[in-house]
This record gives sequence, C-alpha cells and structure tokens, in this order.
Amino acid sequence: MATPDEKKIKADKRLREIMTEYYIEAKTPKEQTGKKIAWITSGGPVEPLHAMDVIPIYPENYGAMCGAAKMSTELCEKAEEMGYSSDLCSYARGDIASAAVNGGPIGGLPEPDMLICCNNICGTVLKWYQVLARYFDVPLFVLDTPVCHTGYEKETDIYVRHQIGEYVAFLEAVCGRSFDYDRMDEVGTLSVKAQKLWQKVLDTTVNKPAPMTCFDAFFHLAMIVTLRGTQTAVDYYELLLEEMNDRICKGISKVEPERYRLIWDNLPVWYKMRWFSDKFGAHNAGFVADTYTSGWCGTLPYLDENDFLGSMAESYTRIFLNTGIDHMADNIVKMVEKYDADGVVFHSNRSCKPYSFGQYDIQRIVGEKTGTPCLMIEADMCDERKFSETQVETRIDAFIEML
Amino acid sequence: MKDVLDRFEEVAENPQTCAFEWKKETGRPVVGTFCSYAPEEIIYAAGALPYRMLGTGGAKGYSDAYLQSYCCSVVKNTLDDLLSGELDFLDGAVFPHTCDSVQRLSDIFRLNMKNSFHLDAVLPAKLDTPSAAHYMKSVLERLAGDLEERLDTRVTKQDLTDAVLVFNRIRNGLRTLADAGMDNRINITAGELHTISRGVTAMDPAEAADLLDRLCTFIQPKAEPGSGPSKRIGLTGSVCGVPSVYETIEQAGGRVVLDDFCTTERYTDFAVDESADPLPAIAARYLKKADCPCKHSSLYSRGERIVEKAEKRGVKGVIFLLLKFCDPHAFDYPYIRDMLELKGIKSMVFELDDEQSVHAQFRTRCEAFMEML
Ligand code: SF4
Ligand code: SF4
Repeated sequence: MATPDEKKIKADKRLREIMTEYYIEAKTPKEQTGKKIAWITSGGPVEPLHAMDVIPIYPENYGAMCGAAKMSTELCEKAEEMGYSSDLCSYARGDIASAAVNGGPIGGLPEPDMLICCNNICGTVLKWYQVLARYFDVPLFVLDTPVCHTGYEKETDIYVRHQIGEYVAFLEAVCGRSFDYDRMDEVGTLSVKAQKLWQKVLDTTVNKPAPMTCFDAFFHLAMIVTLRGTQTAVDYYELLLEEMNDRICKGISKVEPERYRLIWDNLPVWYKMRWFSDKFGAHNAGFVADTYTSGWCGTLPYLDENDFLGSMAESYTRIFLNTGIDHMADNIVKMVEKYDADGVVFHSNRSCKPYSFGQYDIQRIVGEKTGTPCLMIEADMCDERKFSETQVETRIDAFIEML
Repeated sequence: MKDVLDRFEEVAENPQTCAFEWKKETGRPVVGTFCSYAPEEIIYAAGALPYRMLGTGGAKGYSDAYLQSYCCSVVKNTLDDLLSGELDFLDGAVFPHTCDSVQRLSDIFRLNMKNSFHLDAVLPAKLDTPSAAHYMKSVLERLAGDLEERLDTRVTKQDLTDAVLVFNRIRNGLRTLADAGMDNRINITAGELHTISRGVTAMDPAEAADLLDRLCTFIQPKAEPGSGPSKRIGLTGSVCGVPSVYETIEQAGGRVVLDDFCTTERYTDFAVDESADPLPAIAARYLKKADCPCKHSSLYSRGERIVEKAEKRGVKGVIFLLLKFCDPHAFDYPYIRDMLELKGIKSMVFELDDEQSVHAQFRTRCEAFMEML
C-alpha cells in the first residue's frame, strides 16, 4: 500500500505555480506587460493568440475555479438578480455576474481587449459572448463551426477555412500589426506536441491499477486548455508523464485495491469532486477515463503538424461535442474497450444541454454494444443548489451492487 | 369569412390528421420541419408538404426516457409526438440548425425515426459575413440535392420559383392580416389570428395562400373607431410554437400590436426576392429577416428591432414570454428589457412551463400588468 504522501501527484505543485504565474501576468496592468487580453471559449482556437502574444483568458476555466472554491452559487444568484434565468449554464451565469462585481477567488478576471467565441462546444457561448461584448464594448470574433451530425462536409470546410483567415485579419486589426506566420508555425508545433503528450498522460490509465483518476485529469487539464501552444505546457506534460510512468513502475494508484474501473461522461461536478472521489473510492471504484478531458486531444487525427493553420478548420470543427450523439456513443464504446472499464457514469448536467441531451440514447448504445452497466446522475457542474447528495448517494450504492 | 376561418380552425386543431389526409388525397410525401429558418420553399418545390412540427402537447411522457426534465416543452412535445407514433405519416424530416436543444433533438430523431428519412440543414449561426452568406447558399443547395435523392424527384428552377411565389403570398397574407387586426381594420380577434398561424403550418401552401387572400378582401381601408381593448401590448420572447395566450391578453384589456414570435413576425418578415435566382434568394432572405436569438447578426439587432417597432406602433407595455429551459431567449431578455426601459416602455416577464397549457397565473399577472400601464 502506498502512503498518502506517495499517492499525491507531485506535479500538482508545479501546475499550481504555473497557473498562479499565468494569472498574475494576466492581472498585471497592461501598460507593464504590453500585452493585450482576449477572453476565449474553451473550445476556441488559442494558438493564433499565442502567436500574437495575446494573453488568453478562459472564463470557463475561471468558472471551474469558482465552482471548486464553492463560490459559483453566489455568483449565479447575482446573475439571476440581473434577470438571467436560473436554468442557464452556470459558467455563463457565474462569469456574467463576476464581470459585473469582480467576484470569484481572484477577484474577477482582467478586462478583455477582445472576445473570441467558437461555437464548437455549444450555442450558449454565442449568447454569453454577446452579453460580454455589450458589457465590455470590445470587438467580438465569432468562429462559427457547423455541427457535424454525421460527417464533415465540403462546404463546412470552405466556410470554416475562410473564417480562419478572417480570424487572422481580426487579430491584425485589434493588435495593430501583421500576423506572425513564422511564430504561428512554432506555436502550432508546440500545440501538437502538448496534445500528444496529454493523450499519452491520459493513456497511462490503461495500466492496472491506473496511476491517476479522472479527478486528477480534470485538474491537470487546465494547462492544455489555456497554455497549449507554449513551451511551458510541453515541459509540464513531459514532467507529468514521467511521473505517471514512475507511478506505474512502482504500482502506485489512487484507488487501492482498484476493483472497479469506471468511465465518467460530461463535465465534473466541481464543488463535489472530493465527495465523488471518496464515495466511489470507498467501494474501490476509480474513474480511469472520461469523455471531457480527452476532448482537448481528440482531434489530433485531423491536425497537420506541418500546416497547423491550414488544418485548424477541420480539427476545431470536429471536436466530439460538435458531432452527433451516435458518434459520441462510439467514443465511449471505444473507451470502455481501451480502458477495460466495468461501468460508465453519466453526469446529466443541467448546465450543459448539448453534452447532456442524447445521453439516454448514448447510454442505450453503450449498454447494447458493451454490456457495461451505466449510471445516470443528475447535477450541475457549478450550481450547488441543483445537487441532491442523498439521492445521488443512493443511486451510486445501487450501481456499485450491479458491477 | 366564416368558412375560411372554420377551415383554418379545422387544421389548427388537428394538424396531423389534416396533413395525413392531404397525403392520402394527393399521394405526395409530407416532410416534417422545425423553426422559422426551415427551407419550406425547397421542400415544397420537391413536391412535398412541409409540415411544421410544433408538438401537440398533452405531456404524453414518452420522451422522458429520451430527454431530461430540463428540456423545453417544444422539443419534448415534438419528440413525444414522434415516439407515440403520431408522426408516422411523415416521409422524412429536415432539421435546420438552431439551438442546442434542437441540435440534439435532431440526433434523437435520426436514431429513432422509423421508415423515413432524416436530413440536417446545418445553417450558419452567423448571418453577418460574406462567407456565412456563401455557406448558407451551399447548405441549401446540398439540401435541395438531398431531397431530390430521397424523394426521387427533380427540383427545377421553375419549381423553386413557383414555391417562392406561394410562400411569399402566405407570409404577406399573414402580415397583412396581422397589421389589419392590430389597427382594427378587420373583424378578427387575436385568438383567431393565432388559429390562422397554426393552421398554415400543416396545410397545403397553395390552399393557405388562397384562403389568406380571401380573408384579406375583408380588410377595411379605415379603422373601426373605439372598438376593442385599448392597452397596446407587444409580445416577444421564446415560444417556437404558437402559444395560446392571445385571448387571455385580450380579456385582460390588452391589444397585441407587436408580435415577435417564431411563428408570427419572425416567420412572416421579409419576402424572398421574386426576380432573383430562387435558391440564392431564399438564402438571402434568411440573412435579412427578423433574426432569431440563436443567430448572430449584430449585438443589438433584436433589441433595436423590437424597440423600433414598439415605438412605431405605440406599444405601452411589452410582455416577455420565456419558455422554461429556452436558453437563447433567456440570454436576450435582460438587454432587451433594459433597452425598452430606456425608452420608457414597461415590460413584464412570464415564464411558461409548457406553451400548450398556459397557466391561470398568467391571467392574474396580465391583469396586474394592464392595470399598471
Ligand atoms: S458547460 Fe456546456 S453550455 Fe456551458 S459553456 Fe460549456 S459547453 Fe456551453
Ligand atoms: S423554445 Fe428555445 S430551446 Fe426550445 S426549441 Fe425553441 S429556441 Fe430551442
């Protein structure tokens, strides 16, 4: 048995340092850094921003921080006072309120000079960024990535490619200088490198026992979201990968002994991560993979390292949330096989309709194709008012019986 | 006039039966659609009846095993109709891209429809750039081709032009009647207008156009003085179907003079250019017509349009009807409310659980609002 200290992932500390530095730089007055700030959606193309030395800020990442710090509910209530329905995505509600009152763990995000919205994750971000654009009165760029229900069509490719060009022109106009294509090549190479490393990190849990759980992945995800395209991200994931391999050699895992291997679908329940981890852990069940964190390396097959800008259209359009639910189901089926999972837990997330609607069909497909037991839990990733602990607890206990 | 209204009522009350009867009589296919961006002209040009799936309601419960409770009633009711077998008469369905909920409804339909085809028309979310305009046209071209294949037919330019003429007549007729109703130039209640809008969604377009033309002949050049309720009300908000709220508003003393729903002004706004190449002209209309909040044209376009119309029509108060769990409209409400307030136009917001069964509470809220105006 590993000691609690051995169980801890050492790289955590480094990640915290990097993220702190990142937020400190972002919150430093712009006159000192000389850098512009862009708010961007989590599925948005960040690489051109790094190429232009713009600091990308992710309200969704901040939403997760607020959620984990249990500060989201209050912000959501504030948004509701402003007239926003309590049924809207809690990231959006939290961020809109936080912009108005400088709320959350770091006292609000630095004001944006521009907004970049890519609707490859949902239509919510389009509405949310319109609200922000009206509030901050700064330029908004919308990258419209048509849903690939059954495939990636030729006209979609033409449309999105065209918009990549428009994006570059937008950045040139806002930054007041021409786009640095050489720098873009470097950033693109680094982005692909980081994504490959992230995939390798996620693959380490194929090992039995898994050296980490998806709750760790949710945490280590921060870097691939915000800093992909930088050397920092590459270095960090090399470090993390090394540590994971070391844990495998030493047989260290989070859940000991690991009796059940599970897969998580949808966003985490940020304010209950510990609770879920303990609850399942008590039954010797560990989450070895999830559909969420793998979203940031899932389109590697469409990326061309040697022509990053040219392959961005396809890779940003074909992310799993922007595909049909049968495709999403196949993704889980493959995961069950790859990670040799014993069950799948679906978080039916009241905030995220595109991720949650269709889960019943997905559950049916996964059940039919793999025979794996599935559990559906209703919650919300940030709004604690929408979580019923006793109800979820009973369902988890019943599910474990089935395994 | 009565026989025309009766016919609309007959279809509005039994849209599925009427569409099915049309199919039996004509031997032609029926294709289900959704939303005010549904390319009805193209479906009609392909020889089929475009049938707008609005959900007949009644909380049948079939959809509970397919969709969570936090989904809007338009989507749930429509899925209920499919799962209960009521939509078995459809030969196919075409889903234009709108909101996140419909995006997934489309997938669920595709996986659960029996013996009928399913097509997505993934329209752009952006409407304000040349590349989006070009893409819009390409999507419609693809759809026309897909329909030709599925329905084993040819869609000629002439077919499209003919369809454009019919739908222009329908939209124009609906608009003219609504305007006349608002100005008291025709003896039609808001409730009757509602029935007409519903009837149009499930009727042979040529018949609908003729009936509307006939109704328009009853319009008087001048307003009847002093009749009817006087508080001039604007309606906006979600509701992708046809909510039964008009009579309640009228009974509370309100007169609806601005109606911005998906089946009313957002549907009837703007005609397709009849002199242009039909397919690009249909695409062009979608870029210009009153936009839906699922689309992105400009940051203030919807608010500006509503304020402008409200001022022009002397609206005293605006009622925002928000369908529960409808995200796109819920995001737009605060800013449009604030824009109206700046112009001194009062508003109230009411959340509907199900647009097919409007709450008694709405009556009370309406009465209180009218009193405040
Ligand atoms: S949680 Fe879902 S709805 Fe909210 S921003 Fe993310 S993808 Fe969109
Ligand atoms: S009411 Fe709103 S959520 Fe429902 S289908 Fe219409 S736009 Fe979508």
